[in-house]
Amino acid sequence: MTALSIRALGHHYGDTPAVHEVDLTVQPGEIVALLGRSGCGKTTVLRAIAGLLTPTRGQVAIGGQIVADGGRELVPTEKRGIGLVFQDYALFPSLTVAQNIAFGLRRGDPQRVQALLDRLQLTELAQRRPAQLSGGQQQRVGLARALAPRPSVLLLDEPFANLDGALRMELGALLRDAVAEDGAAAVLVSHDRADALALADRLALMGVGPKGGVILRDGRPEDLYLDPRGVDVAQLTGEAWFLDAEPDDVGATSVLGPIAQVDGRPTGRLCVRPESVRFTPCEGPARVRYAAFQGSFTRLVLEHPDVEGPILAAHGSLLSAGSTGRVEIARAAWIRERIDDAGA
Amino acid sequence: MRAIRLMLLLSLAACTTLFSDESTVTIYSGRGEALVGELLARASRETGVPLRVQYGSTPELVTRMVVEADQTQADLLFAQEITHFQPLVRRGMLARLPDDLSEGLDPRFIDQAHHWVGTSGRLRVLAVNAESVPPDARPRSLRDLAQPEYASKLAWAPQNAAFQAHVSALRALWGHDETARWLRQVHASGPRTFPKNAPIVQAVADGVVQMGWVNHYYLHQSRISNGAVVNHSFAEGDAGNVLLVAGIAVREGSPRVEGATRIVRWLLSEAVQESVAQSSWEYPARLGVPTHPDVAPLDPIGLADLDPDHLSDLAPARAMLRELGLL
Amino acid sequence: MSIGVRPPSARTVALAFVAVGVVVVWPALGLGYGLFRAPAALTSAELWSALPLLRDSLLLSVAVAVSATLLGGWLAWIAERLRYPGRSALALFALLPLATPSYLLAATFERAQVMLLGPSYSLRGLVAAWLVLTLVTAPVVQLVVASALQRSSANEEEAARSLGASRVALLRSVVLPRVQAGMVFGFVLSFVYALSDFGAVAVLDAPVLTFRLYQAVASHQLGQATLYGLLLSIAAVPLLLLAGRLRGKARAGVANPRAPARLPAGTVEAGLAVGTQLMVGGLGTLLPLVELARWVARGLTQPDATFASLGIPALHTVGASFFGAVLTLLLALPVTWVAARAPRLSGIRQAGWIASALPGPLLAFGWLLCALWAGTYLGLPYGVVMSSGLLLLLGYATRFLAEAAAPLEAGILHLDPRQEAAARSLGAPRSRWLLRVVAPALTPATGGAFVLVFIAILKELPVTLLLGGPAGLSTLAFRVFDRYNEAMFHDAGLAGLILLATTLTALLFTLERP
Repeated sequence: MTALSIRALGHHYGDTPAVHEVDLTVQPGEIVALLGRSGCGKTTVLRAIAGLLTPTRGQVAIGGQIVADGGRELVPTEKRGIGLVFQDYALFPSLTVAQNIAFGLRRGDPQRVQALLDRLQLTELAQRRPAQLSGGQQQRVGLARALAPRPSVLLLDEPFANLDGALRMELGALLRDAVAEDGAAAVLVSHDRADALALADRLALMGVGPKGGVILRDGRPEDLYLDPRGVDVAQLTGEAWFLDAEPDDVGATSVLGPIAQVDGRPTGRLCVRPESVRFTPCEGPARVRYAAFQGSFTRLVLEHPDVEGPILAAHGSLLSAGSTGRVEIARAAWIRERIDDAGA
Repeated sequence: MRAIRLMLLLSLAACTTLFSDESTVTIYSGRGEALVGELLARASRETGVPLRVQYGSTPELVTRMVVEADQTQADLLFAQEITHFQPLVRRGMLARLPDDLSEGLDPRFIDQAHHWVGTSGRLRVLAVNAESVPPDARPRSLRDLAQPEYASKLAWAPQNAAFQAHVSALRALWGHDETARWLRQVHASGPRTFPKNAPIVQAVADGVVQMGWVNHYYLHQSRISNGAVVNHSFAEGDAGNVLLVAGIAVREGSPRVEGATRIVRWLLSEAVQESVAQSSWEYPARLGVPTHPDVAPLDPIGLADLDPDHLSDLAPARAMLRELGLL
Repeated sequence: MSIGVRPPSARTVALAFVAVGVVVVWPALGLGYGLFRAPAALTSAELWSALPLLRDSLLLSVAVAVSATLLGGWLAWIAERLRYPGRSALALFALLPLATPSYLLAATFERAQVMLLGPSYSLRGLVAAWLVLTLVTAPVVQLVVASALQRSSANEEEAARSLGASRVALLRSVVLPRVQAGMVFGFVLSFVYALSDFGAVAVLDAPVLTFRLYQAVASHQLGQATLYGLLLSIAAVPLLLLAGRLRGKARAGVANPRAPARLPAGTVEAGLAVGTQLMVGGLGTLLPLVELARWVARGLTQPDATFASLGIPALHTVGASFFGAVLTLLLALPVTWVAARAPRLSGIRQAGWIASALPGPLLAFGWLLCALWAGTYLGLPYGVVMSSGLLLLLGYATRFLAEAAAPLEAGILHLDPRQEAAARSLGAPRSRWLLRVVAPALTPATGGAFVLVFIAILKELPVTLLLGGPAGLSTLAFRVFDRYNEAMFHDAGLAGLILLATTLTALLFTLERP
């Protein structure tokens, strides 16, 4: 059964439109990330699922039960079986870690609390209060608290925004395990594509249309990354640059030469990811304008006399600005200015 | 836990006041607890009539009785000034007392209509600083206070009920216009205004002012060191020499008239009158009972010739004070 | 995710309206009933003569509110944000005048002037009343503003300081918006306190409208007193509405605020801070204590002066104050909750303010009339209603609703709405959230409100006298008033000392708790 299904969701705050015709389904055990720039309405969707607002149009169903429909709230927040995890944790300062986790449980259920303490590595901290914990520890408590009543939908609002890299990975892994184990559906709101790509089974990309936020595309992260179809999707999912080209029987031909692997339906313009660009240092026409050493690779910004705008590339070894060379493209995807154009 | 125990204790204390039996006589006392608290406790003990006392200022208690009308709890009203009975008399709210109750009392303490009876009296005097106002420099008449040399050294308390009662008496003695003129003259010289009598006597003792227009007993009660302040009475028969009478009345329709009357009778008994005179420095209502040795006897002073009925209503006096900007 | 506060449930709104109905509408109806039974009108002459008094009433109250807000705001700022030696003890010292009844301070203020400046000179009238009332109300403002400062996060302030903002700029652009609601509450509290005060203005002979009102009560003209009261409250309405507007858009605080580093105080600033704190605490508390002790000492040297036992008054006082404060808080909670969370219904707050601006005796008579009406038309025996003590507690609630509401609302505004969302999403019953999250978070605010009301009732007189039941509650405040009236200064002094000791203990007990 579908854990969460949203159909034709629309909402406006007074006269200001927020979201329009949003459709989304999430299966149990699946993590879906709502990704979009700030102001695109992703928080509105999250609040509508949580029941913190009643959407003016459309339908929200959790576990097959319709909780909001056509501007009416049918099931209030507390009866929806959801878990909420906040960017700044929002723990109850007056309660200990164990009490925070037990808050949503009938009669405290000590076994469940202990299991969550163990799973999220909080056993040592059980009797501490939130004020005595670090940010990472607080977020683990926040996650454990939300998971405790076995919610069918877990809603995470920028859960990693306040944490650094190593902690993100660790918490991400914990989240994956927990969702897999409990069979919960998770909806993650983020504006950070790295988080979303790493964690989510599926991405729902949001952008702003004339009537408010809309879902641009919905799919597996790698599909969206490799075949974005629209400029906005390409930019939301990663770094990209664009190049005019002609289709041929193998792939495409451009001023930079032939491209062997090209995804999508031909449009005359290509989206190129930096890792698909091969830069060979030599007496070539291309020149390195900036080079940023990233450890495992070097990020390059190149200029080429035949190409308008910068070329983004990732290079395996150290280079410095001013070097010259030759540019080849291994893989690209056909693209349009807007998704709507591509849909035709 | 401790809080719970405290709450229980307090609720118990509250309950004890809730249930008192039918025979308990309720007295609204405009006379202060300091003055009559022990006296009333003794009255209850010695007469066997259970008593509950509700203290307050006399005018407020009278207002309360007027408002409560036939639902009032009061069986007795003990008033600081007999003038305050008037609104209740007008509304027929006071019972007629037995005629024999006033036998042997000073006529100044008797109501001809027997609606109330006086229990003790306080004399209006000029409390003067003995040192800065030598005997020959003290005014002979209340009228003299209008002279700037006196008025500027004076303290008074126009908000005080005793003050208003005296002004009411002046209207009876001098007439409205004359009284108003006199008040205006005194007021023009800028006497110090106080809310109450007690601090006036203290101010005289401290030398803040040289004389205060007050009641006689504040001097004795405030225990100001010997002789620093003396009570000065005016020439015989002067309008300054006015006796203010405290009195008691029984409510018409009270189901406990018998007990209430017993309390009144007890208050007027010779022994009680004597002890009141000794302990509170007031003038007794019963003839032949001696005053306190520190208190000047009433007769040689020569009170102004005043019918007690003329003290009956404070409203015109208050209106006058308001017009003059004193209230 | 930004989460708006959840509007109060219909049940809470209903509860709030019932509470306001109980404490505001009933006594008002009572007065209306009295007016109807004995119609009164103000003649134009009376009205014209009352207007200058009304003007002075408003003038005095506004002056007191302004100076108390400035002084209290400054006291809160130095107590929470400045660094200089002895600051925590001094901050506490400056709060002590909360415990001093205004009439006691006024009386000792007078006597102290005589002793210090000699008998020929002393300050009385409106200016003296302004000084005294400012002293007793500034600590209230300090308390409310300090709690707002404690709940605001350090980050903003430290960011502003790192950008090189001057103290003035820091105050104006960062601190003030945070404490604006607290300052407005403080302003309103001192305003209604000054407007309805009778003790201090009577002792210091400041001609204000409450005088006229009392005289009307004393001349059995309750209708006229009601009209004066009406005049007083109508005149206060525009200011209270304005205050409600100025309250500003209060921002929610953070769940676990971190206190910003204190600013080091320069010599002048530290001197000024210490000076104000010493002055407020010294004039407001030490002086009355010394004066009362002097009264008692003088009594001790006189062989015939006896002291009346204070056991019963002390018990009555503490009992009445405790239960009165509990009921006031219970009624204030739903009202404040709705006022804080439903902007459209925030007028409910002003209703409480207006009730608290009415002088005590008028309110008490309102309740009395209400009980009489219930006796006549509903068959509730007046005697039983009167002696149950319920009327007394309700009278306190009417009188001190605003006092309880100010710190409570500050606390409610600071609740983190995300915590509520989290609690709801967990499916826990609302009661669990209220008990385990809201109650602990509101404990400081509730404690503060409780102590404010507890102390206010300890000092209260007219309501106690009129509604104390036929048994006559004999409280310490009554004892002071009674003995002072009869010039028994030694006894008044002793009762006053015990009263002050009780209020100070209650105050210190609460303030000392973390």
